[in-house]
Amino acid sequence: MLDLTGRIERNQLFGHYGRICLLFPDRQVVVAPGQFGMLRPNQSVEPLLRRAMAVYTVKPTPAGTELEFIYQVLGRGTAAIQRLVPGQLVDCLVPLGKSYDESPVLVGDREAVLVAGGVGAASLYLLAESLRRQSVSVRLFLGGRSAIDLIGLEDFAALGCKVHLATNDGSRGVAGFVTEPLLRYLVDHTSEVHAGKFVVYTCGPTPMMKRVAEICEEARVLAYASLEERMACGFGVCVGCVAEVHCGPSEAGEPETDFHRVCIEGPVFRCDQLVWG
Amino acid sequence: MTFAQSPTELQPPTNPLEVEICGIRFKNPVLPASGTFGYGLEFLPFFDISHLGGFCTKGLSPKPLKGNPPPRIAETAGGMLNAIGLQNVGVRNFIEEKLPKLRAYDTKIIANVFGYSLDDYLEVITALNDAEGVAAYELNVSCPNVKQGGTQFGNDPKLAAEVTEAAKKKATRPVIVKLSPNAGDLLGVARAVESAGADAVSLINTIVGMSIDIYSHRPRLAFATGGLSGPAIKPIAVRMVYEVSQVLSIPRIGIGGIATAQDAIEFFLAGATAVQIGTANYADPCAAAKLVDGLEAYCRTQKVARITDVVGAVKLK
Repeated sequence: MLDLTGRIERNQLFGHYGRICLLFPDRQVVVAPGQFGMLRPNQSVEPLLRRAMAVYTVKPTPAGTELEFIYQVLGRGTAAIQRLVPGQLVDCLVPLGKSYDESPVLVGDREAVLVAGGVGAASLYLLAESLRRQSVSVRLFLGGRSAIDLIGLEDFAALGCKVHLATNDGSRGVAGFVTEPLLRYLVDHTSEVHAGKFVVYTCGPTPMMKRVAEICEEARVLAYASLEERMACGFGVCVGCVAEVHCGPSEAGEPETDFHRVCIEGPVFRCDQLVWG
Repeated sequence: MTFAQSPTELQPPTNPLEVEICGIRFKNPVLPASGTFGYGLEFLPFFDISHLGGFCTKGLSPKPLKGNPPPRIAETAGGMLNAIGLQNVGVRNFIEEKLPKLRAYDTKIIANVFGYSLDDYLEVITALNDAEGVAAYELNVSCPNVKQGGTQFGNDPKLAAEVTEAAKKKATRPVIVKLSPNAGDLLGVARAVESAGADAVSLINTIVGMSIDIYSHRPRLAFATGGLSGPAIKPIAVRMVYEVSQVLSIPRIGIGGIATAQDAIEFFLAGATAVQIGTANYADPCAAAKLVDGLEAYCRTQKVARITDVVGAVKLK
């Protein structure tokens, strides 16, 4: 984990989202798929806390390392970042958290099935890039409220991912939730499901990921979810960003749960470990 | 003005930041606050914790605690609310897993002690008494985020005195009592714990607050209420440290919205001998180390020979 200051190369707004590119001069920054950063305008004191954002792309350059983040402008923190212009500085703790486990999809003739909702797609791009580099078949189910919310569509397509789209308002792809085409795909490929061909990775709104977890549990497909939870620190000390996980039976044989920190033990969890509520 | 230096001024300079609290010498008066510094080890990627006078551990209970359901935190203007619910590894895990690693660092460890009952406090203290490398205990009698929790002790002078007296009898190390700003009678509680034998007090813990989501109409914390911390509470904390300093003779450790050396010096002037830095550690993991450097610079530029020279030095007229 590095405590860095990056210089803004670009900070473009599209819809309710921003796409910010930071250059870390003379620095090699290594990020694994699914890891995130904690960002704030350089030395800012208000809003008080940094904002957690998944790393979208990593690009080594002669000048250093460029990291891109995609964020949804939701409140004061992200609005403050959205107002920044090229040349200004951003404080960034990076890389944080555990990455997606690629190993289950690297054996045999398997396919990675990515299910992304809204800005959650940002967390999955590095995974798609890494898997495509290893010649793994990647299928993306990308959903959003409207066409503008289909984050990273062109970038995923350029990697050679097979893309299925869904929007709530029907403005692009099929109308409805992205989990419906996912379900249909798995039902249409039952024999491959039984053969253990698919590994699912999901990131997006909690109701979407909960539905993905249900579908995968029923189909007995291994699935990973990257969670989002409000964070104060991002490195494990505030214990603010917890998720409820199953932790095996108690001495009395009762099922028990515990709270794990999304920033340290996560943000990626196996779906069957999580208590979805 | 004279250019001749007296013999004492020619002596090698002593450390201007050294302070002594309840017989313990701290190399500087900067102690990260309980609950904001984990078990110390989490900050090693950022700086050498030997740079600090000491730090307060996350509140330790007899058994591990699961804590409250999320969401546990909500940012507010100039601060944040938290209702963590004292999730911690338990005192035995702390002694076996964390403490051996911490002994490699030259910093004073203050173990924050928490319980739901008097017996809980005494069980934690008994376990810690046998552990090498702990300098003092801080009694958390003021956490607002646990049901039937320690806060009942901290809000009532009689109960606060009882837990302090019992802890003092059991403890082989100095006992610092962390005071709650939520007590109706703060000065009464402060006097009571001093009479009961407390070696020092630390104040303030967080102030109970609430924030409501205007779209869902639900509280922004699952626990509904939480403890407010951060710059927003600093003036209240300075005032309370000042008032408590007027009535106590045991040392005060100031807490509340401290992020910089300037913030800390206000607390010294109000009567604190040391400070704790809390929420600022989240936004800037190096904040505590920078605070130490800032105090050194203050002493140098303001010609303050010892930081203790400014303790209680506020001029009211």
